[in-house]
Amino acid sequence: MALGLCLYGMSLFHQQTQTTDRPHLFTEGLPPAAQKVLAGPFAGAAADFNLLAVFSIYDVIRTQSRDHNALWHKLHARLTAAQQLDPWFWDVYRLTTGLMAFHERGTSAAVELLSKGANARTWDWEMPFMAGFLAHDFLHDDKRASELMSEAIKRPNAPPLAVGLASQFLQASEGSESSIRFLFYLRASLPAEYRDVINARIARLQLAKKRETQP
Amino acid sequence: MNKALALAAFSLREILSAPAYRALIASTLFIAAGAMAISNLFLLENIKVQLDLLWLGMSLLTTFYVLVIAGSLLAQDFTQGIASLFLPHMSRSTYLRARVFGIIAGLLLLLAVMTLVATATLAWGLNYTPTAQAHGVSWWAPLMLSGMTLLQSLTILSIVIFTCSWASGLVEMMLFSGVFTGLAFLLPSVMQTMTSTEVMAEVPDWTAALIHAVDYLFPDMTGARIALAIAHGLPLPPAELTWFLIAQMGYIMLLAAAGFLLFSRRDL
Repeated sequence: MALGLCLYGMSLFHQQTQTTDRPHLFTEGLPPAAQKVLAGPFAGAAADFNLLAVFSIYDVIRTQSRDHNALWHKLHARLTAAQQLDPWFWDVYRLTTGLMAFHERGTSAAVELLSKGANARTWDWEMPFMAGFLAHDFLHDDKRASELMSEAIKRPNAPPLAVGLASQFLQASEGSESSIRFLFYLRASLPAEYRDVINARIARLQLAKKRETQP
Repeated sequence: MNKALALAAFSLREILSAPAYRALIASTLFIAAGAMAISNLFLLENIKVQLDLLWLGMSLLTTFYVLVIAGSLLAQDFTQGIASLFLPHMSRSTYLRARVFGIIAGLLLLLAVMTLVATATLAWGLNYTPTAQAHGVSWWAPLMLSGMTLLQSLTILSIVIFTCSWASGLVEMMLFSGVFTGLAFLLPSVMQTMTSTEVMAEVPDWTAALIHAVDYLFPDMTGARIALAIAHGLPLPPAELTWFLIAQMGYIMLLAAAGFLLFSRRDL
């Protein structure tokens, strides 16, 4: 009987969280400094739990059609916390690029996070390269883009694709073609359910390119 | 010496027969299963997540062992007169040393099981992870994390010995051991935050000097960056590793020596 009561109580709670409180259940978090204090020796696990919260928040953004600004802020806060707890964590930067970068008003924050990632992951060419791409293509900050791209192509294992694209970005004459190629490359490294924003960006660029070529 | 060995073996048997200890041994499998399941949710660094969770699991497991099983064993000995049964046959320091050796043997057994399970989990993870995403992660990672856990657990054990040697009741011993352990985990991170340039710029000079003095007294014993480096397969930072080992060994020796000294003079 006690077990039955427990199961009934859990089902009521589950039902309630599905209908009303779901957006708030996993999205609230402490400031990064407080999390760092509480995590103590388990900073890595704390960063992992922040990314689990990111998955939960993004799931709510995808499934509910209401004002998402507050949720995007929380998503950014969780990514920042995860970055501060574990600055070497690759998944943080991949999600920053995949989710934050192509969201309006999120690009600047994404470039900041990726620049921090470039400082922490000194062996990785992708962080400064992606930060440079975003700074050039979205923020139109070519000075910063130039610094970041130059940093990227100096790093070990930077592939010819990165070097080629970087040189194209740094030339004033490049068009939307290079951006589309880069976005396809980025999309291939993300799971299908996280490709929506990148797909939308590719579609916009392709449409713009088509209009330019049509007489 | 034989009496000490016999008491150490008796202590180990006592620990092995405790249901809580068996539950801890069984929970190593749950920790491994949890680490495997959760790490699969991530995109790229699944192995890193797995090692993070194994490190969290093994630390919590051994902390629980030392605080609850070892702590209650010593506390009951001192408060319920069990120690008095042994003391006519050996000196106080021999008695306490034998009890501590028994506790450490139980800890080593628990860590050995956890290391085996963690290594098997890592092997499974490495088998399913592309090489680029597990670059640098070594098969020795669980053993290195176990070594760090052992040092942490011995520090907590020395806190327990120190507390039990002067506290009067069972509740007092368990409570103070828990509080001191919590402080040892939290204080380094608090001090790290307080000594940041942003905070130092805002506080008066005398407060800054006080904060720095406390920071020197309580160095970072947590090894958070070392554990992160192991999980990411990065080279271990030599200065931090050396400082971590020296700080842990120093605290273990100081607290254990103080505990043995106080125990030799306390009323039983």
